[in-house]
Amino acid sequence: MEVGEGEDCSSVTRLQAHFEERHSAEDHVVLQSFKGFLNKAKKKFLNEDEPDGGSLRPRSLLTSLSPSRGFEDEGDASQEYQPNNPWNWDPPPPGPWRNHTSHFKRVRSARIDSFVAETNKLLIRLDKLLTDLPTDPVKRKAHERSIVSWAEDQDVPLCPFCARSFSLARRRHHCRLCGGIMCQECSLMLTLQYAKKLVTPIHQGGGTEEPPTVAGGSSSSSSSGGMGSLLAGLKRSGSQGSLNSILSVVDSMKTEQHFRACAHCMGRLDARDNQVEQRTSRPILTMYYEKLMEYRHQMEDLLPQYMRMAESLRSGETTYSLRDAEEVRVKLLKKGDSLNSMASRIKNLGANEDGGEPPGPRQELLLRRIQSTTSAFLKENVLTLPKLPTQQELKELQERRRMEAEARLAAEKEAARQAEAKAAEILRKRDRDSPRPNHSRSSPHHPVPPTLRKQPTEEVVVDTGWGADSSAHNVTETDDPLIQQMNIIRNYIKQARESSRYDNIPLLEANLRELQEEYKKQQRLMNP
Amino acid sequence: MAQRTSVQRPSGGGQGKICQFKLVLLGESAVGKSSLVLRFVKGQFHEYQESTIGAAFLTQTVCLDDTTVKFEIWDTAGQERYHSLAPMYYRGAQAAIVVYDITNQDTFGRAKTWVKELQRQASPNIVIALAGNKADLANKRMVEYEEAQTYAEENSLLFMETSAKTAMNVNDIFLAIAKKLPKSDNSATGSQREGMTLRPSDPTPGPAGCCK
Repeated sequence: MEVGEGEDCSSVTRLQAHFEERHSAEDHVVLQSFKGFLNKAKKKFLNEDEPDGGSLRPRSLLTSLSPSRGFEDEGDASQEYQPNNPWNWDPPPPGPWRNHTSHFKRVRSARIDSFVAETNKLLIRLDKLLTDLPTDPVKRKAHERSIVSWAEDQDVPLCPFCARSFSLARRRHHCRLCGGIMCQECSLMLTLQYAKKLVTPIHQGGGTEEPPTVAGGSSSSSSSGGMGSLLAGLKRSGSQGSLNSILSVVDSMKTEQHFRACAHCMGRLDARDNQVEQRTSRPILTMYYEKLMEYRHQMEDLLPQYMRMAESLRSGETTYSLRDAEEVRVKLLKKGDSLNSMASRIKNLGANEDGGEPPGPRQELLLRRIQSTTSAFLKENVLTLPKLPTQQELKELQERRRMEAEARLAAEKEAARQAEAKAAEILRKRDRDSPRPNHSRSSPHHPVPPTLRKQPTEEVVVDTGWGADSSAHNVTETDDPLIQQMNIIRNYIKQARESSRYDNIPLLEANLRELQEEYKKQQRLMNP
Repeated sequence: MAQRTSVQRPSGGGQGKICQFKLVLLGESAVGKSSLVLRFVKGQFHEYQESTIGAAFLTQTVCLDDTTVKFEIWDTAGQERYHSLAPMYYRGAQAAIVVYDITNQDTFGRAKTWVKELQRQASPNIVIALAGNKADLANKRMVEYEEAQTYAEENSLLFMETSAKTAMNVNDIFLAIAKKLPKSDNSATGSQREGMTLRPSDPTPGPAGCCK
């Protein structure tokens, strides 16, 4: 159907009229659908556009309607009408359909099964070949043939891989794994080392090192190449005679370090090797990342501790010693350093990939993000690490704190005295069951009756208890209890430091000093 | 050193004061001092707890209302040969738990002498709790509850029968001590050791704390 050349079809009604008179003879279905569309369009335009502006838009829409432009050619008009796009009709109802998933799965699993079975067969054969492998070429051949039956020479006139005929120059060779025949060029060499690795269970891992039991012991295990392959081309007592019996002696050193295999068998083994490798080895990025996170977690553990220590020291408290805080700080900085270097190593994974394939855009993004997250973490935590006061400053701080505390106490006492005078009468009336009402700093002027204060709102035993392991030290029973105890405390200090319970160290050190004083006193008493 | 106690941190994560108290455990050997502490600190109980050598050190923190109380616990050995160490630990302590075994009358007698010693030698404001341990063995009881309670009342001790094995009253006795301890900012400095100058700042003056 075509819109008449000279006709003005710029309005919906005209177009419809045109349709009815010109195309009425045409297919009814098409006509009907067209009518439906036009009605829809009409409704839309009339509802949403004012009559004047409406004349513009339908034009562009309707011109794009001309069949020559095709339905997929969506002009600006259709995009403008997104919410009720007339082109977006409901999708046609699906025709008859079938689920092929189960079929696919069946075929696939059958294929996998056969592949796995084949591979396992090869591995079993390989294992058999490897056990008690004779070094003598003749015996070895017998050994090989006893495990895998070789194809008959006359059955295979052409090499199945390159389709060339065998001759004196192109000799037949057998795959040691399937017994199939191929020419020298098409055969692959499976080194004994590789074979051993393949048959070694994964968990034993390192079964690849010791070289095969060969008299020569030279490690030229690479299969093909240069002189080796040239010699190998003539070697081996072929199935047709003993032409190369001399040669076989010459190159026995080389030949005995590998099995000849066809491309099929080799492919299967390689696939398995790959699979095992993939299952057991993790990409370097993962390992780096794990290390990175380990550093980060260690830092996250240390950070709050350091903050506590630094804050306590700066406010002049003596809960922590400066030395311990310094130690934690150094630890933190070191960890930050390792974290940083690990992050840059991860970033460099993308930059200078030596040997590996360059990372895809997504991986690159990942690498970049890891790096930026890490640097943000470092910026936030390490660069803003609060400074510790120097020894001098610490002394001043502690002195100031002491003075402040004394001044405050004096003031409080004064206040308490006054309050007490006032409260005495009130208190006298109350039942004073507690010998010690609390004079809390927050409310020295309003002593709350002890019974009221004792109302527990919430009490929780925080599960952060720490106890040093007292069985870790061995103290002889004959020791002086004081000496014994000093050793115990020393051991506790060590343990506290190891488990990062720095807040306990000053307590223990103080106790150690006390013990030492006591010991000295005792000694003086005993030997005046 | 006395000023280590009662630490107040302005930005302690929203919670109020942090107080630190030194607590000592005393009592005859094998009454369950170490078991009691182990239950309180680690929530564990060992049927065959090794006997303590010297004095073991443990810490545990409890939250009381808006106050965080950190116990610095010295678990002394009950054996006679270590008794010379005990004064070193109860001298500076703000609290003591004297433990006896309810299935053994002798240990109760020993507990009484410990209480006497504490009353004479330790800080006058020390909070003393009496714990009748092994309450799970009530069928072998040799010390009556009432007897111990009367004694405790006479001497104004906190008293509870406990069981480290079943955890009965273990946390409770520590919490009761924590509640009874003065928690104003500086009052935890309980150690008035001989030879130490009493500064005007000494926070536990008798008349201020007690009913006169």
